[in-house]
Amino acid sequence: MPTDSRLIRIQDRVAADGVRAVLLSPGDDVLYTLGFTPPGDERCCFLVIGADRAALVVPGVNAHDADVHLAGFPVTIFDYADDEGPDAALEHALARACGQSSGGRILVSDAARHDHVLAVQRALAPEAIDLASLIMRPLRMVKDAEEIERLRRSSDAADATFQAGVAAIACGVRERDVHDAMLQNFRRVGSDGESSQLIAFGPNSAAPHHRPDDTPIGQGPMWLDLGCRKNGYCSDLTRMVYRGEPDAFYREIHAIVWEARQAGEQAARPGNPASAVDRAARAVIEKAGYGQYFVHRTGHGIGVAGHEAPFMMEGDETILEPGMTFSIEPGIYLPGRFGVRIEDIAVVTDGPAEILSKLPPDPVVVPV
Amino acid sequence: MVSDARLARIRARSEQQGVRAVLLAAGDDVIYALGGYTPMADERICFLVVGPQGAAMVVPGVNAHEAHELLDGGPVSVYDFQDADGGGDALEEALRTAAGPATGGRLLVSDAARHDHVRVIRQVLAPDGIGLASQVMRPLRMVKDADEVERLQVASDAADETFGCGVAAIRRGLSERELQDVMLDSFRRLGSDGLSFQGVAFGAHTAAPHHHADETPVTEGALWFDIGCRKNGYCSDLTRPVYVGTPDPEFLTVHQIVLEARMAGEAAARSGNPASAVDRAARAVIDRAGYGEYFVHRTGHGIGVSVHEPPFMMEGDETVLEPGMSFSIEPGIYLPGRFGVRIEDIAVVTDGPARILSRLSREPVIID
Repeated sequence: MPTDSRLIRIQDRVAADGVRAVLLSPGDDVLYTLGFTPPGDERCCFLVIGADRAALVVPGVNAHDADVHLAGFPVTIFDYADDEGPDAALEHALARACGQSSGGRILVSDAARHDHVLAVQRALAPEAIDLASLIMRPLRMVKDAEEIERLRRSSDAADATFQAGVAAIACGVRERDVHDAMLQNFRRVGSDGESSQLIAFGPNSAAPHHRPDDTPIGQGPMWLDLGCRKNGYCSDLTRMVYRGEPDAFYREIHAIVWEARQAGEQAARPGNPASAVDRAARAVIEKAGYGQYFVHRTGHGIGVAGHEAPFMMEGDETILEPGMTFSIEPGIYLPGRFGVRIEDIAVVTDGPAEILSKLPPDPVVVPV
Repeated sequence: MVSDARLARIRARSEQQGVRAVLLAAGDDVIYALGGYTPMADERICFLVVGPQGAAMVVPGVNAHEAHELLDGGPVSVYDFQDADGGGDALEEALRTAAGPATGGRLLVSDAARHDHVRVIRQVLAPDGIGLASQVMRPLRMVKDADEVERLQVASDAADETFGCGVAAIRRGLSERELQDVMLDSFRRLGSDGLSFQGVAFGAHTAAPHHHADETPVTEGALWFDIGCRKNGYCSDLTRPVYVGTPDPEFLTVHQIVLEARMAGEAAARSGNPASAVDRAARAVIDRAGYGEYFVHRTGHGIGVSVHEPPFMMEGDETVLEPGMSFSIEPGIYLPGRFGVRIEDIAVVTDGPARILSRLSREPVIID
């Protein structure tokens, strides 16, 4: 059962910013606001929030589901038949959400589809359209205690699933099989049906986003990068596994990445900009001479979305506050050889950051 | 593996329309244009730019390895960018490669592109106007060639086999979610590309056309499976009703009406007819039987690299059917609080009668 406190906070911001309405598209923004989202597809669907009221525009095929989930919640549902199109429902929803007040900008979710933004333009003819993140970003970035508890539970599911992935590594097994074992485990531990479970073995691990394929897992290094959505909140975890005995060079690279990961954690303090976390982690890797092989940002915010603001990278000057949650995931990728990444989710507190995963950082050694 | 022919067709159509370039967002449009491959889509800019002088892919550094591996040496140049740089410079370079150094002009951007990405394109490339890429892509993607129809058939075969697995797994006491897991495993075993869905609804849930499988145990009553996957880039979508126990006589009556509607839709799926005629034919059967108000959605949707794409079988879609068009015909009757029946097949328009991809019977499956 959703509560309407988030809706009220958004309404307050709509009023304060002199915005006519904010239109949130199905997915993360609506999930954050209502604790429920209709499925997003090619049909136009928006939660329309004005200064006083809220309304949901939903295709008829999903109206029943929305009705059930929003019973007792102050959101009026405007559904439309496929052959009518969404224009009239959008107009009615806007009138419901902000009465006769006309004029003012309309904000639309950053992730909304291009054609749906044009539908808003056509049906509502606003003065201007801007990004909903203007209002949603500061709200979504800082998590309350309940959200952090959900992130912890999602992280526990990832920890357990990592163990299930390691347990599946054996002679003759392919990347795809380990992927499947992790997928099944996520379903068993109650993910919301959305999960990602990557594994990259040997030279494949030098591509930071390698997609699991039929590569057989022989002797050598691999990483497992996995996460799910549970009760609406996401997890994201990367740990290294080594089949056989790791050699000295591998251990050296692993130690550098772990040092970088810790340096990122040290910088994850209130008052620091997000970019400081990136700089701290990157400095360690550069000092060790591997700067050119750290080919991505150090991290990304996490919440109802797997990737959200703030971003731990040069140029993101968001000032960290208690309740912000993000990944710290430096890596070194040596083309043709192997890659190492260690990823944890950090929660900014008044003191040192809280790290959600309970797994040790060391490579898990699986005997051949 | 990248088909020059499709890029040439996209180019020819955009030139006809006086468009400077088309920007296709990672996802379905790119899978179509590149014959099966798309970089992973996330909050980072990722576009395939097609213009009169060439084609170029803008891809975040973290996914560059895969893009280079699959595209280098072919007709698509790859421009990758680092997270901290944003995609702006890479977009400009890609547009120059695809469309030359001139500025302005009209750009088309994928209908499914993210709102924030469209804004970046507007800021960085400063076009005279931005329109929907479907203006170029819709007629191309709607008419499938022989290779595409073959891929749809293979995806359909996987759905048929998975339906069989689901039916074989039905036991009283098993939950909707557990049946879903069985079919998920089946799709993975059959080599789906990772995208699959397995809708399961039992009892009164069958009256909600888009019910999400939950922990409800299967006992005696109506059930449907609505399943599909993407395989080799192309999708399947199949719905069949099942009854556990001795069917309620009204279930059999309703099943018969839905089956007649489904057959009437197929008979109207002829070259030269408008898409709306398929809807009207199916709906007329249900209206005549007195259940019109319980058929709460359109009769069908196009299918290809997307599960849902144009044309749409509904009032108002006057697309004239041509050989090679492929779409679902899926009438249903939903009796709230009681049960719902939907029968869904994929039809391919030919010069003669439509080809139906599923080889499954459409008689009710009854399980004791």
